[in-house]
Order: sequence, then C-alpha cells, then structure tokens
Amino acid sequence: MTQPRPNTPRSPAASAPPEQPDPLLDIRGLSVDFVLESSVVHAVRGVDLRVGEGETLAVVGESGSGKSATALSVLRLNPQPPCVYAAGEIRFDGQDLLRAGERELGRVRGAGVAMVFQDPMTSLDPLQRVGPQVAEALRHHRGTSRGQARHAALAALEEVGIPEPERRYRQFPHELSGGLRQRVMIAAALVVRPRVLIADEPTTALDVTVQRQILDLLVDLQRRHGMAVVLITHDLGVVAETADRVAVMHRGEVVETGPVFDVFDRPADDYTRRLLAATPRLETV
Amino acid sequence: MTDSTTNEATPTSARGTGAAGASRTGVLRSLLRNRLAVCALGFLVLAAAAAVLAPLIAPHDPAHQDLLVRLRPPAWQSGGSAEHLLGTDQLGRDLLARVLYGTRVSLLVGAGAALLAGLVGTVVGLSSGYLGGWLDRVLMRLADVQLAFPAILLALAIVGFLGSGLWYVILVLGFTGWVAYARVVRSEVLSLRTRDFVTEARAIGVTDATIMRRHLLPNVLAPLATIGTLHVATAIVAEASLSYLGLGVPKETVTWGGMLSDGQLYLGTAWWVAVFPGVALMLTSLAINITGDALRDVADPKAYRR
Amino acid sequence: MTPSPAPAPLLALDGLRKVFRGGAVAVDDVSLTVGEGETLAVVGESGCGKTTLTRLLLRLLEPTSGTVRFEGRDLTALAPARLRDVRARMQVVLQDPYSSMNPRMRVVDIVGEPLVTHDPQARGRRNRARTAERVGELLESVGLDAAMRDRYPHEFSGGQRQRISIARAIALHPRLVVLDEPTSALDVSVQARVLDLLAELQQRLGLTYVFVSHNLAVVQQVADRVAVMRRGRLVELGEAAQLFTEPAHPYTRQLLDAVPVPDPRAARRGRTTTEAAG
Repeated sequence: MTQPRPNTPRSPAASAPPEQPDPLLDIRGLSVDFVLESSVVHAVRGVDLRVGEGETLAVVGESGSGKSATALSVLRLNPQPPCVYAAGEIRFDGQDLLRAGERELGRVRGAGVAMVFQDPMTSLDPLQRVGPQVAEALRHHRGTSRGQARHAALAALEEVGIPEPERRYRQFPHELSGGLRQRVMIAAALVVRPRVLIADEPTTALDVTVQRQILDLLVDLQRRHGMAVVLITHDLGVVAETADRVAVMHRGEVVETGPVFDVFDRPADDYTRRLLAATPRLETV
Repeated sequence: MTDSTTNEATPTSARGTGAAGASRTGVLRSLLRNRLAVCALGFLVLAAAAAVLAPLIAPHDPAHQDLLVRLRPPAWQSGGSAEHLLGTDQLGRDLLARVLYGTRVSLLVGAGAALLAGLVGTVVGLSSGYLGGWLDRVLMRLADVQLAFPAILLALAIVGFLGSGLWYVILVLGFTGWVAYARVVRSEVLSLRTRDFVTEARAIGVTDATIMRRHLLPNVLAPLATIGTLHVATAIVAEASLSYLGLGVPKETVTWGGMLSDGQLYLGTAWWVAVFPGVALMLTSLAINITGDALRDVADPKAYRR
Repeated sequence: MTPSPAPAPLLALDGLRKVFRGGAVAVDDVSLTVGEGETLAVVGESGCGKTTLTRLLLRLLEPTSGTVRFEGRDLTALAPARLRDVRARMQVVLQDPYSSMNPRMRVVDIVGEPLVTHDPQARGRRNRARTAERVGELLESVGLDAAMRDRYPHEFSGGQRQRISIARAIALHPRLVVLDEPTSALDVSVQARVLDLLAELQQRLGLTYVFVSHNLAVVQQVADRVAVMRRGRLVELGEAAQLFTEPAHPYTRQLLDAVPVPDPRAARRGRTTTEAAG
C-alpha cells in the first residue's frame, strides 16, 4: 500500500475500518514481480485490498496497472515463472493463500474462491460439451457423483438465466453466443457456491446490450448468495453500476480506495481525477 | 510528444523486448546460446571451407588411381600409411581426398536444391495464399499431384530423357521439394493477409506485387529459413541415394553416394571405403538438422512468450 | 432518412448490399451520404455489418449490389488504375494498433508508404532523405518526435502507434478518413488524447470522417451525424444531438440504455435499491 495520503482520511486502509471488522478476503502488502530475461517488472507494489461478505469491490485501472496480476495472485494463477510473489499475504478464511500448500489451495479453488475471466472462448475447452465443463469443478473438488453434478450444473445454468439448460448442456462452446458463453463461465464459477467471486474484466469482450445483462446478472447473483465480489475492470461506468467500494490502481499501486460514491464525488487522488475526466460519458438528457 | 508512455504498461514493454529479441541480432545471440547448435554450425562452416578449399587441402588428386595401393586401410590400422590417412578404395584412390571433394557436390546439391525449391515454393505459396481464387485451387491441386508422384520416379524419368548430371540432380530435387515451402508460405500468408497492416496497404493503393514483396515476404522468411535448412539435409541424403542408385551425377564426379555404392561390395573386407563417406554424410545432415531445429526454436515468436 | 444538407456529398452509398459466400447478408440495402467536413459515426454491436460497410466504401470488398460514390464517381465502376488514384484521397485508420503495422518495417517506411506509392517524387534512393523529412513533419503533426521515424512499431505504446497510423492516413492530404474503432483498444486517458488529436486534424486539414465505433459515449463526443446499424441494416440515421436525446428507433433506445454510466447515483437510479454495504 502506498502511504495513506493526508487528504484521504476515509481510506479504510488508513485506520481500522469500522464497517468491515473481519474481511473475508484480505490482501496485505502484496508485491508481485515478473522476472524477465533482462529485467524485473514490479507489476504489483504493496497492494492492500479487502472485501467482506456481500460486498462488491471494484478494482479499476488501465492496462498495466497491475489489477489483473493482483486478481490472479489470489489463487496463485500468475504463471510461475516468470512471476514471483515477492511480499505480502492474502488471507482467506484465516489462511494465507500465498503460502498455502497445493492441496489447501486446491480446496480454496474448488469451494472458497471462484474466478470468471474476460474471454469465455479461451477459458472454455472447445472440444468439450458445455455442461460437463460446468459440472467439472464439483466432480473434481468434491468428488460429487456424475448424476448429482449434472443436476447441480443444470441448476446453475438455469440460475444464470440460460434458457433451455437441458439443450445447452449438450452443446459445444462454439454453438453459443458470447453472452451465453459468459453466462456458462459464471455458472461454472457458481456451481461450487464460492464465498468470493473474482471477475476479471468479465464484460470487456461483450457488446453493450449483452454487457448490461451480464452486469445485472452479477449484481443479482451477488445479492442472492451474499458472496463477496471482486470486479476487475477498466471501465468506470461498470464500476459505478456495480461496486460498493472502489480501489483505483495505477502502476502497481492502489492510489485510492473508498466507497464508490465518495470516490466518484470527491476523488482524492490526482490520477483518479484524471481517469474520471478522461472517461467519456453519454448525455442522453 | 504528448502521448507519454506513462500509461503504457510494463508488460507491454516486456512484450516489446521479446519482439525485438526475435529480430536479427537476437536470433544470432539465442542461436549462440545453444551449445549444440554452435558445434553444428561450426562443423558446417568447416565443411563449407573444405568444399571450397578441396583442391588446395586435398593430399591427392581424388581421381588418381594407383592399383598398387588399392584397398589400403586408414593410417592408424596395421598396413596403413600416413600417405593415405583414411586409406584408399578399390582403385587405389585416396579416400580423404575423395571425401573432401564429395563435400563439394553434397553441399552444392543441398544448397542448390533448397534454393530452387524455396524459390518456386515461395512464389507459389505467396500468390496462392494472397491472390486466392482459381489460381489457389489450381496451384494446390498441382501440389497434391506433385506429392503423389514419387520423386525417384521423376528422377528416373529425367535422367532417362536428359541424361545424368549435377544440374539435373539439383533440378530434380528442387522441383520435387517445392511443395513443403509452398504449403507453409501459403498458410502463413492466409493468416497475414487479413492482418490490419495488409488491409491498410491495400487501402493506400499499394499494388498486389508490392504487398507480397514488402509486407508478406519479410514476414514468412523465418519459417522459410527453417524448412530451407532442413531441406538442405534431405537433399544431400537424396542426392547420395540417387548417386548410390546410379541415377545421380556421372561416375566421374566424386560424391558420397557414389562412394557408398562403390564401398558396399567391400564392407566385409575393407569397411573404410563405405564408412568414411557414410560418416561424412551422417555428420553433415545431422549438423544441418540441429542448426535447423535451433533456428526454428529462436525464430518462433512463441518461444518468446512467457 | 434525413438527406444531407450539403449540395454534393463527398461520399454517397446507394442500396449497398454484401452477401458473403454461404449466404450471410453482412450489409443489407444501406444508403447514406457523408458531406464534406462532417463526421458521420456508424455504430452497432459486433456482427452488425459496420466493419463490412467500411471495407465496401473503401472498395476493399466488392459489393453484391449497390454503388459507392466518392467525389461523385462510382468506385464500383472504376478501372484499377483510376481506383488507385482515388485511394490517395480516402484513407483508413484501423482499430488494433498492434496489428495495423508491419512489424518488420521502420516507422519511416510505414508512414512513407502512401507517399512512395502515390508520388513518384518520393521513390528511389535519391529521394529517401526528402521522404524521411516529410515523415518527420507528419510525426510532429500528430504529436510525436521526428526522430522516432527510425524505430520499429514494437517500440511504441498503443497510443503512439495509433498516432503513427493517423500520420500515415493524413500523409497524402486525403479528403476522407475512415476511422474503424480507432480508440477501442486504448486506455481511456490515451483515448481522450487521440480523440483530441483527431478533432484538431479535422479542423486544420478539413477532413471528413467516417467514424465506426461501438462506444456510444465516444461517438457522442465526435459525431455530427450518427448511423445505427443492426443485422446489416441501417435502423436509424440522424443528427447526433437529436439521436442521443430522442432516439426514434427502439433499438437505438436499447443501445443507449445499455451504456454503463460512470456515475454511481445515476447508474443505480433504475435499480432496486439495497444500500446494505457502505
């Protein structure tokens, strides 16, 4: 974390935040380096983030701000090498995920923390039918029987608003539209009933009307299940629509964090102000 | 400039260096890091030098017969002499001189066939892939026919019609090898032609010929160089096979294949007659293959991805 | 639809239609005009045919039927040599700053390519210095250093590359520039500056823009008129000011409503409010 600035007294990191006594996911002083042949890239530099049950935290930043590297660190999904987790800890449910053994991490991947990525075309196996891919996490992490897993997967497909789940279950990824594929990915994340959902640019590859539906779906699911949601995005519009709290990242650091209304109304950091100013807004009235 | 690089991500600049590494000096440097490839490259340089300097460094005239010293073993064997380091063949010709001279034909045929095939294949692949349509269909059917037609049969036919000779061998191997180049170039071009920089060039009004030369060709050179090297090895072995079968260059020209063919009769009594040209052939084609593999590894941009 | 107020439009599409092999109708009966000096935005979601439309009006694709008139001449009937002349006056900037440049060419050759292609004076070794100098000027006019002309594309950031693309597009003093999602791949702060540059160049050089985008907020900033496409068809065409406040077609309304508003209060207005957290 960057030194809390004197003009950001509301920054929850500055003092013990009263509204979040016990965050579900707690990232402290995370530093992530990428060690390349001739140089070391400090992608994440001392980031503090926390998110509580039923809360949506949006991490916003431009490309290279370190927001995705931060998100991937939670499940240690950054490619190693070249990635090195240089410092910090990521506490989930009392254990430090950065130091957890592969088996514990597997358990967290299967039940505690789920991820949804930007491009559903590359995160789905093109040669496998959609349904079994949704059920896979259950079969793999819980050893659920085939029939039960299928049942749960169908329920998840239905819950994310996929019409005719029985038919879709048997289809291949390429037979689905981009929006449907993203719903399938969300269903695959939800099927294990995670407590934290990390969505890395989940709507960036989608058209606006589809994006709208997916955002509505995420908000709806979060309310229904009371998950903690970490939404990684570059779009301040998406932040405004979904987030309770915002963390603005710039060059690997969190430059500002706070409740969404405060950050948009009274941005404390100069970079946040510039970002807001550069964001084109649609005037329809 | 107003557009400072500040917003640009460090990962992007990392990608930048990766791409830079793939160009020119980077290729050479990565190649040198691979020790096996360095050895192979060194061997090839020596072989090339031997080919060029054969008349100067060969201890004897490779065609000079001396029946008094026929089938002499190499110098380190009993009965051998320093006069003929690698021994002599059934007509008393110096094997070292013949292996050295054989290098000339082998490298010439290998390089010539690869160049010819590369030229034909590149032209066919570029026009087939970029222009498409009926031309593409015709050329690709032609490639199928070519592949279905055994090279040896073609060689037989050509030798039958035109007689044997070094240039005919190069011609035969060149015209039977172009398909591999054409296919690779075509598939590269098919993906390149939809790239934005080709679209922009077309929008500017750049002619098709210029687009192929300026935008497509430089971007297919890396895979071309790789198949090219490997093809040199194939062609060298193929020439040896043809010469072994008596379909290659005339008997008077010294070739490894011809030497093998001569030597096989004496394998039981004078192994060296066949083994030395065989070893030379094997080492050369091995060195070329290693170099080619290393070249492919460093020229493949995927090797640079993290 | 509203006819252009300009007496003789610079670009006029009439009944343009493109059916791809296999029967997919990418562009279906599109007619519109673009007047000198204006910015016409073409908006729509992926697969609506907007990209195909740009390829047709640049005549990089052959229309199945219909005509494209540029400067009053029918491009579809033009002989190849004449078409090349016309190309000098219509240029294009594409979306992806990473694939729109030949990775093996230096900036001087990339930006100089239109010059070399259309001006015999720029060709050959003897004229290299002159061409390089002109490229330097062009780079400076888009806010880059003249000295950058000796570098390769991968040495630049996305925003800088897009500036290089723009420099190339204006090299021949074109009248029409087709901008196909020119800022979609860029970060917002970079996008804002590239948009400023485009506006400044339009003013200074009297350019006419066809600006293709899926980003309605950006379109509102730049467009004089907007054409909304859906499934290959033009569903609405109108003055930007009017289209954004009183869209005539329900699909336009739907598009506008879907845009996320970077204002948490406005964004939540329609939603059932549960202010549990925060």
